[in-house]
Amino acid sequence: MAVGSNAGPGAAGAQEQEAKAETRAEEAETAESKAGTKAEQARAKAARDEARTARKEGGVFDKLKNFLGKERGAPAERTTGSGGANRGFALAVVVWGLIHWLLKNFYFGGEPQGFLFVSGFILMIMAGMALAGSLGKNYMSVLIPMILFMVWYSMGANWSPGFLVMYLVICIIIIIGFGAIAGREAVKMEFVGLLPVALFFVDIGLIAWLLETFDWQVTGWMATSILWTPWWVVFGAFTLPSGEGNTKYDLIKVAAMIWLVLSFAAPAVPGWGHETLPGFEELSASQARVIEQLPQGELLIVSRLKCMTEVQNYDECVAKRQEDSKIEAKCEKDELVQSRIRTMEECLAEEREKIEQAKIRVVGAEDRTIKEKTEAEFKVSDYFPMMTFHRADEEVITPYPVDFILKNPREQTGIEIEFNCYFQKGREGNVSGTTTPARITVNEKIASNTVVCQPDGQLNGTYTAVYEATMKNLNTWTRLPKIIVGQKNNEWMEEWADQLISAHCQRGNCVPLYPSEFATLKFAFGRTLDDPIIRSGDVYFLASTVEKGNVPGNLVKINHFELELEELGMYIEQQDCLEGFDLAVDGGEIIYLPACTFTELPPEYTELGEGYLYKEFIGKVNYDFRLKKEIRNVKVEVVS
Amino acid sequence: MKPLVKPILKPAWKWSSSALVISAVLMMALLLASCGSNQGENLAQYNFKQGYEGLKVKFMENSPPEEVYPFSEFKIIVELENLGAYDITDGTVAILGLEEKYFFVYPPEQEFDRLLGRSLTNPSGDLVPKEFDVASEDLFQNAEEYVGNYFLKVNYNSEMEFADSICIKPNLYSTYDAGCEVEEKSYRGQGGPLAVTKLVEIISPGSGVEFRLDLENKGRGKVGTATLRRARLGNEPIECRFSGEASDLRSTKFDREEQKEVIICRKAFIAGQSSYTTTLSIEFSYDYELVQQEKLTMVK
Repeated sequence: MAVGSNAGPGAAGAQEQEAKAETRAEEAETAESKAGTKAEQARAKAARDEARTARKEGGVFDKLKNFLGKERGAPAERTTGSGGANRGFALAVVVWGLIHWLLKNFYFGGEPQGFLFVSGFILMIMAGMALAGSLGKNYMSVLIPMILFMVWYSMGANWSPGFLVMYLVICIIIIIGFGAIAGREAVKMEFVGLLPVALFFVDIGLIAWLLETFDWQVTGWMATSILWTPWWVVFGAFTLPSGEGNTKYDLIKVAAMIWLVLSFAAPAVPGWGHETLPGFEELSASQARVIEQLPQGELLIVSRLKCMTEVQNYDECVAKRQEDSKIEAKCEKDELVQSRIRTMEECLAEEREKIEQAKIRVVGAEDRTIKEKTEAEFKVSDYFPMMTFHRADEEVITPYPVDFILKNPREQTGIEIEFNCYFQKGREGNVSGTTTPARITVNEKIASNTVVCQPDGQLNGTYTAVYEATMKNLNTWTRLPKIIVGQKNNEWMEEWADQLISAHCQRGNCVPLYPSEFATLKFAFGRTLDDPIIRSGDVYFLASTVEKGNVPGNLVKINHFELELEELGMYIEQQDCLEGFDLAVDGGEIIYLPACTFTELPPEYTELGEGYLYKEFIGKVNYDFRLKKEIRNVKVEVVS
Repeated sequence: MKPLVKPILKPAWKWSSSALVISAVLMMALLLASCGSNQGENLAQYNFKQGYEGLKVKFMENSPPEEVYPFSEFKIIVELENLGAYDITDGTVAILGLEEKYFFVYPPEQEFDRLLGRSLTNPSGDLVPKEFDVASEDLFQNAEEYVGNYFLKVNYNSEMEFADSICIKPNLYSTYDAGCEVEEKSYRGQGGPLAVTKLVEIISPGSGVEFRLDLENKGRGKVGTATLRRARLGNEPIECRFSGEASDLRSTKFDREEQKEVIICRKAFIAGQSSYTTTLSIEFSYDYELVQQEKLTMVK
């Protein structure tokens, strides 16, 4: 229906043109038969040929051309509502887009859903139709790029160069083919057709993906505005006809405009949305909030543009510009700088030092010779009541049992474990629980206990049951291989260094080796932290970290750490980098232990003649760890 | 009862016991003499001063064992066998790079005296075993195993002698001199890892002769310093030096990577000499270092 009604004027024009060409050809043939002289006959023949050519051009080719690219109506016709199908599609996009947006944000809560994907896809097709109608072009030229793109996307969005070249060639052939048939205008329209495709990807999460992937520095309100704008509705609104007789559609357009202004401009204008004019303090607070939300540091794109000339150190240049701009932005806002208690230079230096400290991260590797590791887990058995029913007047509360298993292969004694549990239900807050047993002490190699969680109140609805086991006094060790060569010259080093590293370091890396457990101690020292060789006469840097392992939960406390550097320990003045007690963790996953430098080595490490020493230094950490287990969709239904 | 027919075959003579003994002794003597004379002839003809063989270092079987257990004692027995043609002196063998937390080696280094090279009187070369006592400690925490890589390092001094007949042709372009011809020569070792591999003779007509010898380490170890001991052309001394040296011309420290040096020897002619063949002999002394990587495995 839509195609028929819109194709009318174009098709009629073509038929008229064809009829005229036919008439001209017939007239020419009659003239030729009547012509007496040769000159007259030749003129008549030429006129006949021209007419036949015109007739040919006005045939199938022209019909196809008209179908694919020709305008179907003058703009005046469009504004007066002759494009009924266009209006229909545009309205459908507005209405469906609104439903789609409401469902997406308020029903599904922004979670990706197959339904939304299908809905978005249909909206894309309709938006393409509406756009073609709005511009007075044929649908095909808009749909072609959409089809081509979706075919590529449905094939897994293959980025391999070979495939892309082949596919692009096919696309170009198709586009040129249509261009040759339908004219340059159709090719233009094919590119316009990419607009609904782009909108489709925006709808399914392209913006969020770009923000995350490329670390685009847009402000929070900008991101929120982009993500919360009902793009399909706005798009549909702007494809609606306007002008005389379309006042109601103009109103929709105005509403869309207002939405855009409110979304993108309002946060920058203090006082928007206030019922009364805000006071000075409120204005200032709003302004402060807006300023705070402005980009911290230089926009990445600006850094990239400014580093274009730095061909060899491009990445470094961008990183440095970013780092410097962030430090500057931070110091400009610094209260001490603003109150002139400290200078900007002091602030910059302090911030840079902090960044440098954060960069001191010791690299390590799992000790593969330790196959049995200290591990613990909560195991949900088949007896766990995932779904229970109880009567409203019933006071019996269902207990929730899970199995707790701790593997203690090194047979550490005195591991104290405290259990805790609670039930989470969205924003309604937690229902606390009581565990039985509340605590245990483990001395054996494998400890297995059933931990029963009894909710402190009656549950009703769907919960996430959370179990925690705070394990205290856990120990773990790390060994650090080092090659000590004493006083050796460069020639000796050149000959031996690689040979020694190859013999003593795993895959050429003499890094700290540790069992992969709840927490790991990583420490290193040397001229640089990753230099496996200790040679006399250098300045040595020692750094260590305690890092949370790849286990659900968090580090609670570092009770004690110690680096056993044997004779070398005596030559390190700053003893707090060798041993420490009761270090706060503050929820961090990497805890930086005190670092230090030293210059002297014991005689045993310097007077080695032509020989060398291979040593493994041991580090030990005692810590508390809270293991966490979440069991989702625990349902309790109250029945009458 | 007598036989009816006389035996057709009757021994013409009878073996006496003494004849049997004599013939057996003769046979054995003949056998021994033939074997002995062949071997002696071969040994006498065998040139021990060929090839690149030197000191061979190997472990006695099962010392150390392939795998050891924590808190055990065992021995590493190193067999040092001189397969070269020259004596080895002032040798040391050391075990380097074992972490004492896992393996305690005592003593970590041992010396060995002269190891005679192969010769007519000692065709096999000397062999000496050296024992290291090792005590294993415990594994790290609850590790399943520990692999300790280490180096067996042997240092020693040795000698090498190069000798060959060469042609001296003072009048290089003389058409009437039908004697010997000067030629470039290549060699396949003189019975030790340090070897002269090439000799180039350069005649300066009317002036003298220059010999350029390539001295190379063809063994698995490294030559440290090599020294020219004695150089003679025929019965007369010849002036030789290492090409790259400026101060001590008769001694050079080998480049640790390249392990190759050039020696230049010069001799002036006596005018009017015709071509003749004579012997060029040069003796070297050098120190040598052999390092081989080994491993000890401790299992639970």
